[in-house]
Amino acid sequence: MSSQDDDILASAREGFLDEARDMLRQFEQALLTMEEDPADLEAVNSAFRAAHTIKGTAGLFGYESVVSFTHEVESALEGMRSGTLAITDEAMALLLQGRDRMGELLDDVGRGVTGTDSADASRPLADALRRLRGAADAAPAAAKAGTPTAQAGAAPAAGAWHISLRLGADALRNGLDPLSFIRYLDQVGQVQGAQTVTEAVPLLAELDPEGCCLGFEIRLASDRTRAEIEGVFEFLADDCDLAVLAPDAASQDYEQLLERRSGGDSPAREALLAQWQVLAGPDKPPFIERREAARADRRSAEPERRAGPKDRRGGEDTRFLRVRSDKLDGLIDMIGELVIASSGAQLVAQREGSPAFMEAALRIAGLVEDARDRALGLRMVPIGETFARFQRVVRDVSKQLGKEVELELTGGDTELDKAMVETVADPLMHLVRNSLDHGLELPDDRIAAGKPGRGRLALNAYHEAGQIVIEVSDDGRGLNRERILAKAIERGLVQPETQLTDAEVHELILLPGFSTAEKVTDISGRGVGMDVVRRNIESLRGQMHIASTEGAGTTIQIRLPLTLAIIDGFLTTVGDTHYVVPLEAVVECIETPEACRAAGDKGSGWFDLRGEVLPYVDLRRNFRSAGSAPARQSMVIVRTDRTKVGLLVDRLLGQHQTVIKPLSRVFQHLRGIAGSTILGSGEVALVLDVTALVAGVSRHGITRTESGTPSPRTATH
Amino acid sequence: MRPTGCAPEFAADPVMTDTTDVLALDGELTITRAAELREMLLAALAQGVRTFDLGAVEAFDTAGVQLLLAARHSARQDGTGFELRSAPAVVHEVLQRYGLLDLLRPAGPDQTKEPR
Repeated sequence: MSSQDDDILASAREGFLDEARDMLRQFEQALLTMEEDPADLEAVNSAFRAAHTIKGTAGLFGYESVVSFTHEVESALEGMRSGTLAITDEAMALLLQGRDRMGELLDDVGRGVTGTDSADASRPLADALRRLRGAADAAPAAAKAGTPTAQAGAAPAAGAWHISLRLGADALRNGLDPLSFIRYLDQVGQVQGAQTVTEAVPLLAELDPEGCCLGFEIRLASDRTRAEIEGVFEFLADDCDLAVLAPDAASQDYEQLLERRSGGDSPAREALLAQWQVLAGPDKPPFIERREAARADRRSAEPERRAGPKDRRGGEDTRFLRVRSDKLDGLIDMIGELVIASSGAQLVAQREGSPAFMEAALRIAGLVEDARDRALGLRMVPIGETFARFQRVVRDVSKQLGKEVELELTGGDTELDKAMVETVADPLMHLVRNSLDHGLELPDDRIAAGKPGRGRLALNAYHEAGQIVIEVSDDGRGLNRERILAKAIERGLVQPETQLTDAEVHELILLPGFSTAEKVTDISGRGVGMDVVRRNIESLRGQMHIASTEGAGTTIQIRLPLTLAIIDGFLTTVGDTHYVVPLEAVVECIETPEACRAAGDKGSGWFDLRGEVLPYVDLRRNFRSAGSAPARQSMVIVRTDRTKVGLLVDRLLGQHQTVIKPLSRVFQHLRGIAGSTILGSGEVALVLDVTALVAGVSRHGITRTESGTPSPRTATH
Repeated sequence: MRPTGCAPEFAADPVMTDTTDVLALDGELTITRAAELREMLLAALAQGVRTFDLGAVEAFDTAGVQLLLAARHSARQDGTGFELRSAPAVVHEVLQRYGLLDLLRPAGPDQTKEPR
């Protein structure tokens, strides 16, 4: 029984962590927006809501370390929301650190670490956040009294404090009657007036008699400090939303409070304003006077913001269903088997020669294909979320480097396989950091170069010809051909006399151990960047391209297949072995050219395709298949990322839906084979990794003489 | 928006219902009896009672305030008046603190949202 409970708890915890991490992303996003535009109240609210939700759910699960720390973060945001705490760079930096700490605490929860160590580690930051609030509280109090020392026992301050209180639904049920707190206010000052906000009171039939739906607006003349006044409501803290404005609060503060209380609802706003006016009496305080003007400019700034993500978010919760990914993988596996079985049925139908059977098999094949596409679609997620993560990186890194960078994200809706998203995030991170560190110049240098001081870094994604293209581009200094060449020669990566095109030079930076940064920084420049990126991308059957104009910027393009699991393949045989090439890579099929037949035993070489010189690989010799070649062989021309290649095979069998099964560990070192697949007949076919095949062959023999672009590896040995 | 400080609207337009039925509330008008009171008020409103006598009320708290506010809201929604009579000191004190003394004035049907 208990193990079952544990299971339930564990899966509930997963759910909590997932949700909390989503919230954390939202939180970070909002913080970054706040930093950009401190006047954006919606961002403050959004950050606050996210922190509040994390605290709330963590509390439900009893993760005290998360709750207590998040509470500090939330309180700071609360201060910003109510206008008592200024949104300064320092405060934002602390909050962002707070976000990181929250992430760590969640990680601890994920690892099952919930002890006091975890809580202790949060203490310094929690203290810093508290100090931040403390400082903000002290400031207006001091300002109010004119001189800091004149406070205690001085004459009552000219203005009055404004207290705005909204009760939580459970306040009364919890035995906390606001009446007693309001009565107690007599002890700290003189209540000049009070108004009850009855907006939320429903019809009697809908009233929860023990719930609470009231709010209060109170003017209090008092010479006490903010802490003392807020202290009155201390017991209510968990059940109310309290805002206290000092007597010297600016009209802007009132404006913010109004905005926060009415939530953008204009009747509620008018009603509250009217109540304030009653409270303020005949000699209207400043907060009423500037109302019209303030509202006017607020409105003009508003539409885009209000149309923002708030509403959308509410809808998403209902539209999404959380499914365990292993269930999904199971389904996709099944569909994969179905695809194989369906090709099997077609094969039998063909052999039987029964038109009715053939028709039925074809129909099934069509449906299976449809089901396949949909099943794969289930795993697809938009890349936007991954993109959004970079905002923080760009902010942090550019701050650290003293650069001004604007991040531009486009194509966030482009979908790709979830597994791929995760694998591609790291390489992308490298590229972004590289651009920030090496690509974009310091503002002064940029201005000197006649460019705007603020650099531009763009991430873009789109679908093209059955592939997903992701681009990282900047308008920085671009790649320096001379420096790359010099470094490559110095490292012995190319021979000094080699003539290379610009594109070839650019690709040199993808070689292992290559880094042209003059000094190693902790952002990038350790020389382990680009080759790792390239390896990662290639492990996803993707390719990388670099385009750069010196002085104007660099664009790095990553091309990835739509999915990892199933491809449309082109089936060929050599002897008894079946080989599959991705169909989209196949350009054409030709008869064996003269040059190949004449080449005899050589496994690879060059041939002339209508005036174009292309390399070819004889699969029979390359894989050392048994038996001798038939009299008639065929050549499949395949496009790789850089060039076209001819593959010499025995027979062409045509198109075949291929479910790629990864090779077991034992065979993983095999070059040129990307995986295996099972044919309808039950036979096994090998899926060729053309890029690796060509690269491997080049190393062993093909020496390049002319145009056909070599892989940079040609030059490595 | 309503101008501030205008006379309460009942003076301008006292639309009162004809009913003379009065429900007398007594004892505690507090959270301890809130659920029961709600039923009582609902039943009374359904029978057309629009006047409530608070003379015998001994205790009054925020839950009580809320009940009366909701009852008035319902009554005015129905397009009828709402009146509280002979409020004792306990009720008066609370309503004064809450700035809700207008609740004690007879109110007409819902013309403006919040009379004060």
